[in-house]
Amino acid sequence: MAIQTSVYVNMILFYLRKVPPFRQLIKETVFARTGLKRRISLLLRLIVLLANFALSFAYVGIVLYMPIIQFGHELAADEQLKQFAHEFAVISFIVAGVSSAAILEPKRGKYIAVKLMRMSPASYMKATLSHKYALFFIRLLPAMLWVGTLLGASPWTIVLLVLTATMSRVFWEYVHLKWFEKTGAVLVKQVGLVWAVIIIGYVAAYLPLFRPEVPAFGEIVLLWPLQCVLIAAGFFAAVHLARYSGYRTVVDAATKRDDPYLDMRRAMQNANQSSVKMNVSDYELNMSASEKLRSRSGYRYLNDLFFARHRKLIRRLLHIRLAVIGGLLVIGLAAVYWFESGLSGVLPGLLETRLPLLVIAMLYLSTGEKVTRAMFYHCDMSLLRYRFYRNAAFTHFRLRLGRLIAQNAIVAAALATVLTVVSVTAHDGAWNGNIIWLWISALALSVFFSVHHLFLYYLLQPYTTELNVRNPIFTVANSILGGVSGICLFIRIPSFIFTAVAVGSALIYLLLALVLVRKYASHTFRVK
Amino acid sequence: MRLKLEQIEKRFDAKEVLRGVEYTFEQGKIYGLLGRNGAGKTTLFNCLSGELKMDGGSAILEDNGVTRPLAEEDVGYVYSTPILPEFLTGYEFLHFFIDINRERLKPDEVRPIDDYFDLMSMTKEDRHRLIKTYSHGMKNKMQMLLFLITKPPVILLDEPLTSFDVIVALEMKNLLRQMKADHILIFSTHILQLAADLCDELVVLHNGKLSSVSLDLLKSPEMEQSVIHLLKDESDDKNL
Repeated sequence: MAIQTSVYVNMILFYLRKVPPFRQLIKETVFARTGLKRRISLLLRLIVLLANFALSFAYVGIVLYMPIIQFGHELAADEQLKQFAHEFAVISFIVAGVSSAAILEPKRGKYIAVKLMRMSPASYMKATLSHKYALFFIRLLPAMLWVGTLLGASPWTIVLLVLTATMSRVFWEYVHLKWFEKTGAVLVKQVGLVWAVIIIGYVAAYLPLFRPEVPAFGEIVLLWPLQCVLIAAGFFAAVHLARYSGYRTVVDAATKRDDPYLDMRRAMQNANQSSVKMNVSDYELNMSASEKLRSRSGYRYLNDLFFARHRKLIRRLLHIRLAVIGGLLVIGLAAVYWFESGLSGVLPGLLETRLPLLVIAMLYLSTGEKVTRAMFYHCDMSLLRYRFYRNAAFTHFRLRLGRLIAQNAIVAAALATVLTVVSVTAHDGAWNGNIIWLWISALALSVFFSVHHLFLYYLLQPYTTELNVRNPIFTVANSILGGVSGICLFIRIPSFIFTAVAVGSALIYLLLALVLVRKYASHTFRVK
Repeated sequence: MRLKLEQIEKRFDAKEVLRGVEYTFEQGKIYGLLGRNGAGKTTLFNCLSGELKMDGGSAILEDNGVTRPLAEEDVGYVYSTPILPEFLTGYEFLHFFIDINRERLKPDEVRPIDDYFDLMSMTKEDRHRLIKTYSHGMKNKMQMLLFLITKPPVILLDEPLTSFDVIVALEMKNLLRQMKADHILIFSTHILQLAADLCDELVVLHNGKLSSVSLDLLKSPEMEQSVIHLLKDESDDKNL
């Protein structure tokens, strides 16, 4: 715990020093001030504890209680309590028992404490497990008491339920250990199995709300004899874990140096790099591309060469999106076939007032972010070292923007085509006047998102040479756009007005981007 | 042509890396810049090439009696690890580079692309291979080619010869000797023998300031001891 807190305090101070106002305030010597770091660590622990309570309230409120309010409001009070206990039992006893056991979990802190700092594996594991489950009980109890009493349960019932959950989880740790001893396999690393349990578990947790004939454990888990058995099993496991002498092997199995789980940042970095990796053989140019390039010069030559050599990577991005849109066509036509009358009533309304849904669709379908990543990794990371290239930022920005808009326009046109086909098919070939607004909006949004991704790339250049994103403003800007796109899910607005807004926004953003890139990109477009 | 550094200062937070650097470099000479790890050699190069802003002082270029501040385009910077766009062939990169610099170059200065590769003894096959497949030495030759084309008055080389095999190192040394007549060449290195062998003058960066090693000393057997003495801190004396 002390090691972990110390690592977090150092990390927080390190990143705070990167933020301009704090840079002046926090001197480099701060890392040597043990007293100050101890005070910060106390504050940190308090914040973590409060965050734990908040998360528990969010879990109990949103994951367990809200579905009952939403879909089970017609159930009798005691049925609601049983459903609540059922969801809690499935998710917290079983799903989390399989997926969140700590005993064999690969963790950076475990590696640092045992492998690097030579702490005794038994002491580390016993401290970790007792801290985890004491905290589990304490943080879950207030939230469970709150919702439990709302559903008419007595406080004692809830205390027993949470204690049962805690002790079952301790028993699960024992199961993971025994499984490892018997088979040598680490259960939490069996990604397929863990995800299967999670998906099946969540379906099983909520299914009784919709299908009353599906068996539920709610009633059983509230029975005290079963609770006593589970609590006793937990105590048995706790005693076994406290006396266990083979923690060295257990920790060794969970802290292999090259395990990607130990260093998620490195794993993310590798994933980022492999998503844009190319083989030398992919760089072959075909005859027509070579012929075209003969007439090119300067930055147009470079840009055309880049897109010609990376056509496989860029086309793959396009093909994935077109495949998704193709899937939408299949689903749309199937819906027309199955719900003919229902759909013909809904579709005109969607086209009339729900075009804002296109925003979220184009946010996810436009290729900008991946393409800029590929541009950086294969081209700009090297050329940005040269001043001539930085000074010509506006020139290559315009050339690339043209390409990106063309590519995203294909995606937008494909999406508009699919929606048009579904609409026309649903209405026996009748044409809906709003389809024209659909097409214009989709194309305008393709321009908007192309500009957005390339503009942020040139103005904030967020990537490090390892392809990590290291620019908080970039993250915030994208989050704001994501938030606005999310809000669009709930907006109803006449189609022609939305189209005017989409076209206007795209044009304003385009002009703004051209002006700002011309003015600032030669300074901002750099390797961090 | 001369490059005059006047009271150049650069600090990062509280750490003063360059404390009033002063020196005059002349055309026709190769200067070896020596300094311990973290002494500020790369910082000085970055300040001269415009990658970093100086906190104080200036760099002045004096040519035929006319003086002007050193501009970014006056400086060619050869990185220790050559950084080139690997998706291009050597030929394509040079084609692109000449294209974008065509307006700056006099027509009689631009030679056919193959001539430049011949100058660097790069075979016909090599020049049409992807840079991605080039060796470290070939990549460095490509970097040097850029400066043979644009001919910046000042060329800074950051540890340029340390990872070459003997043949490429010799080729590069000969190339630098050929180039020195038209340029001011400054290269940083840790290798004393290389500095003594190639350089006309040796400059030491220590405690944020530059000082020169005398010409007589450069060729003498005591050179190594004397440079080490210049670079040592008081703390090192206590440790030794």
